[in-house]
Amino acid sequence: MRIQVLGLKKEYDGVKVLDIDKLSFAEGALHVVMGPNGSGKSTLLEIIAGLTRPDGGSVLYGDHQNDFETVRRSITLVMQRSYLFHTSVYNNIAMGLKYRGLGREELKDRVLKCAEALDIKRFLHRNVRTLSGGEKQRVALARALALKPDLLLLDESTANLDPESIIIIERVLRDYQKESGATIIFVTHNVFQAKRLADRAYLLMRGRVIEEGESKKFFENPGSALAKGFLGGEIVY
Amino acid sequence: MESIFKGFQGALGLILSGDREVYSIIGLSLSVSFVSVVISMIISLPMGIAIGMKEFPLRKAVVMVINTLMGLPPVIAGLFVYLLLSRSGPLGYLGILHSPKAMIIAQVLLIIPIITGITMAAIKDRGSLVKNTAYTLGAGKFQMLWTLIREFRTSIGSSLIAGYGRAISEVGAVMLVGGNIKGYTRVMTTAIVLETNMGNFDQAIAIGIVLLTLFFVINIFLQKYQGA
Repeated sequence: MRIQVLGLKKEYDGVKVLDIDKLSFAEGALHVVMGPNGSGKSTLLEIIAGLTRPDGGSVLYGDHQNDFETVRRSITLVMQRSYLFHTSVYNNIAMGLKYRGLGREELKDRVLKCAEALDIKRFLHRNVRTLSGGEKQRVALARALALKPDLLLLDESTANLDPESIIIIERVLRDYQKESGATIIFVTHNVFQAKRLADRAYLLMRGRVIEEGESKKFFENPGSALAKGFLGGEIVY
Repeated sequence: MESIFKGFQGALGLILSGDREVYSIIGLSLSVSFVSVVISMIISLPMGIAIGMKEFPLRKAVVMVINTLMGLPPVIAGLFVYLLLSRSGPLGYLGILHSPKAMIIAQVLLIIPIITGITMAAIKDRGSLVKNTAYTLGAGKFQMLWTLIREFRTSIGSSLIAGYGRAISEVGAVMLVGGNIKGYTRVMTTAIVLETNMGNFDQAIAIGIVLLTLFFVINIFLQKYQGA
């Protein structure tokens, strides 16, 4: 699903957090959005996911333009600290499928496949309260992937996780993107992770897009001084 | 001391012999309180969830009113319902004063703030997170509401049990609007008051034992629900 952002504006308590003239995310690519804290990355994802209303501008979703309700069930978001329902791992992964009224067999099949991909099959029947942070995040990703979304949004979804979980999540994301042709927008402030994952990368600062481009060019030859500084490890904001 | 001992002896006799009057009083108490809790739940749950999650003008004032009403003295609720339902009151034409319906209305007034207040407080912190998660997973409006109820079932269950406890132990309001009519509006609490005044300690104690046992059972449920 191709996403176009036009004239998007958002303020919180009079402070401008997002001011994007034009930005587009091509269909079937893994996009990584980077930026320091407070740069507007999460707000951008929340607006695309329909959780936050912008003060101005619009988001166009593929062929459906700005008709969000039509595409809502093709989009899902995995947050930094995803909320897991107070039930078993199985029921958590199945939740979105139940909302869609999927038949028991197909539901079970999808849950098992996603659990296997994320290496959480062995504790499908455990309550989520007993899981570690990394395991919980893998459950959240399995829950999102079970929906087979056309647009998958991830907001710092691997921040502060153990290396094993990060490796698994990154592998599964790449595999899913290749197999399904879905569009993935991954928000992170980890430059190394961005390099590993991105087909295209974007740098946001103070709510504006400072730099964007195809991965190789973006990381090896950024155009703006701010982007060079950020990617070079300097403290820029 | 002897009268207390004799009272207990007589009370056990009444309970074990299945005394019809005692059991009809118990039955009415249970059913009136149950209906009151069900009606209150239908009104209070959506209200508690909405107030707990949404920001709106005068929210603080609304929360303050609910918290105040959680401690509403039952006689005041009873007086209010009495004035509404008395022949000269605005709802006097209904002709339901001194009936179980009037008792249910009074109990509903007392329970609504309790269920609303507890639900609202529980949902305030994590409610938006649960709602947003359900939303991003594609839940419709009713699915989101059901998910919220499921996620906060412990607190909601506690509020229902607290509401039931309040209803069944209440005496002032049901005495005023029910009239304590034998075989019609006499419930456990009003019967205890009456029998004690008349010196029938065995009957008062018998009903008291049942009431205490009920509270014990309610508390077992409450603790089990809260995982204590």
